[in-house]
Amino acid sequence: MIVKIENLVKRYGELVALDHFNLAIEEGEIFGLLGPNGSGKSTTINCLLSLLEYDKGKIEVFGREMKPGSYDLKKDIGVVMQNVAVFDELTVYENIDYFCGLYVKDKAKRRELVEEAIAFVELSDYRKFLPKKLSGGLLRRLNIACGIAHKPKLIIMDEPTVAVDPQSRNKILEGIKQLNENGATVIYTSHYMEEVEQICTRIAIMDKGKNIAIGTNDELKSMIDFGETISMEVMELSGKQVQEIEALPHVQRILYEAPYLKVYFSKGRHNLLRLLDYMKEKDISFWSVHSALPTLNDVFLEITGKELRD
Amino acid sequence: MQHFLYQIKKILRSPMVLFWSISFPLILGTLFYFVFSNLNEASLFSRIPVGVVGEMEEPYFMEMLKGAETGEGKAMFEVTAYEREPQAQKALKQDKLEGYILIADEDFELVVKDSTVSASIIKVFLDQYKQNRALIERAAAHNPEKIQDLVMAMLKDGEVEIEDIPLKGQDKDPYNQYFYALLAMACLMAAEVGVQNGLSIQADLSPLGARRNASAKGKISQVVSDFLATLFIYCVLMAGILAVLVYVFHRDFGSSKGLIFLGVCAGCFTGLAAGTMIAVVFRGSPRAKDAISVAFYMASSFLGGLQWVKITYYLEETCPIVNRINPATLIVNAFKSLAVFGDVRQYWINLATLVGIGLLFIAVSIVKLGRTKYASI
Repeated sequence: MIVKIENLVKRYGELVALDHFNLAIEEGEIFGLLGPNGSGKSTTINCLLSLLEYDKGKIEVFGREMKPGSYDLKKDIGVVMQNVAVFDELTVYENIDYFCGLYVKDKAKRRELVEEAIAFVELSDYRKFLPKKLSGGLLRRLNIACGIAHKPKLIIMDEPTVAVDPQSRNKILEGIKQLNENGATVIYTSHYMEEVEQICTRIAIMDKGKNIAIGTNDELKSMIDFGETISMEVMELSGKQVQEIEALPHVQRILYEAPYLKVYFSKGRHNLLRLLDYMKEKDISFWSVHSALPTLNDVFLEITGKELRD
Repeated sequence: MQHFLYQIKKILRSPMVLFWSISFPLILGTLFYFVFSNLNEASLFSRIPVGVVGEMEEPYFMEMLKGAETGEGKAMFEVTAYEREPQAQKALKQDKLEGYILIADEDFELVVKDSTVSASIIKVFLDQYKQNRALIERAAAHNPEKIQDLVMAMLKDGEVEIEDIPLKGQDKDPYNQYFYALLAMACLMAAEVGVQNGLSIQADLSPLGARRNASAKGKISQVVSDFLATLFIYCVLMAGILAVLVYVFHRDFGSSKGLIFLGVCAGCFTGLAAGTMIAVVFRGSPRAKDAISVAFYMASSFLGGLQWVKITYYLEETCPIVNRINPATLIVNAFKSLAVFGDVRQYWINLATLVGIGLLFIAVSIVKLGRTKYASI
């Protein structure tokens, strides 16, 4: 077990930020902490790193209790903070070297690690740039390089793609997968469900300081009854036809506002075929057919009654 | 070492820090230079007003006092005889005298209002007279025309031969006190960088603080590295400022420039330590902590005589403890002890007190930092 959190309680005055929160992360995982803003993701990370004192609970990292002075544990942890934390006065190379130096004393080894980190985040062309000369995406990549240069066993990334352009975001996500393939366990927090779905091997969905669901992407989606959504454009549907579609097997509900038809199915097979057969049989012309599988947002919606993006 | 070198780079690449640390003291020094150059020219010709009560008891003394001359052949003292002490006291209170000498039963007592350079000159003269009294009386009895030569020889001897008397140092320029106070302020301005250092290691005050707290290097170790690197930079900067004062503004700080530089380094040490403590101990926003550091070094400099030299004399009479613990006063007094009075022992006492205060600030900062747990970030 790389990380074990038991019964963690953290209060900010009256507000309970973490409410008896539990978590167990195995070696080799890319573990996603997913939840809307204010759900307690960053608080969990800050408690895990012993930056924050907490009211109750126990945190273990690498099988040992994590404390503010646990520097022997911290040396194997890489941290990528939500806010970019680099020195404005130091260049890209110097910043990475500085943070790597907080873990690695040997100069020659550090030089090697810094070069690898620069290559990894593809900042070779910017090594002599000061942070203020970098774009938002490049700055985030620098932030990541500063966190992972010392090749930690556990990498904690707190929303590393906030305010990043799609191209940089993809590079960052690919990089995280690569780090994991190279042996690092990754804890990744985000409120972007697509990112979490894309890279995480296991996911915990958080809301109001609680762990409301945990599992793989498929496991989480299987927790809900909802199967797929088929949308299409239909010129005209009578009330009777709407009722007949609603009566098809596995249909949970339909929405029709001409010309847009959206049919929500519970789990079941051949939903699309059955719907298309009905359209053909009734000679209803349609176009732009699209089938969408459930997302983590649907999972969150079903469990909490609200959208993840709320 | 890597941490130390990067801290130096960070400071050297912070133009605002360098600007305030170097240019502000130099601008103020330039102003002092022009203002005091004119005053010095005027003051070269002014004699020291001194009163004598009971002159009849020592007939040669009055003659000796009047005969004392400066190196330029000008009369050193403007002597006024008083019949009764209250008259002299009144004149002293009204600043008409720098001091008066009370002669009674062949004993001499010097009464001064402030321990100024002029008062010290009177004391030198008096001490020399007392030591050479028999010789003077004999010379006056047999060769009255030689009294003037005797006076000059006596004063010269006083400077070169007699230990533990004031004004052994080379600095006779009373306005140098302002430059000492200026140096003190420049040293204590390091408090501002100390605040920045202190802020950058606290997890609840900056993302960098949080990031550094999450690293494998101890908080205290990082603070100490930052501190030493900043101190090094400040000592170099202060050496530059000192060089400008000595070689461009021609301030004569005496021959012990090495010890003056050491005093400057000690001042920077305490200034930095004060800034670190302000950042760590006081609650409030970074801006508020910055403001406290500015208030600290400005108040300390004021009490050390930057704006009004006599405040230290006033404090000596009313609240002497301030002069014993105020960092700026300790720096100024250390320089004065060395350059004006040539009192190396007093210099070391001032320096030790100054460093002691700095160490206390550091100890408080370390204890506080070590115990701090962040309730929110």
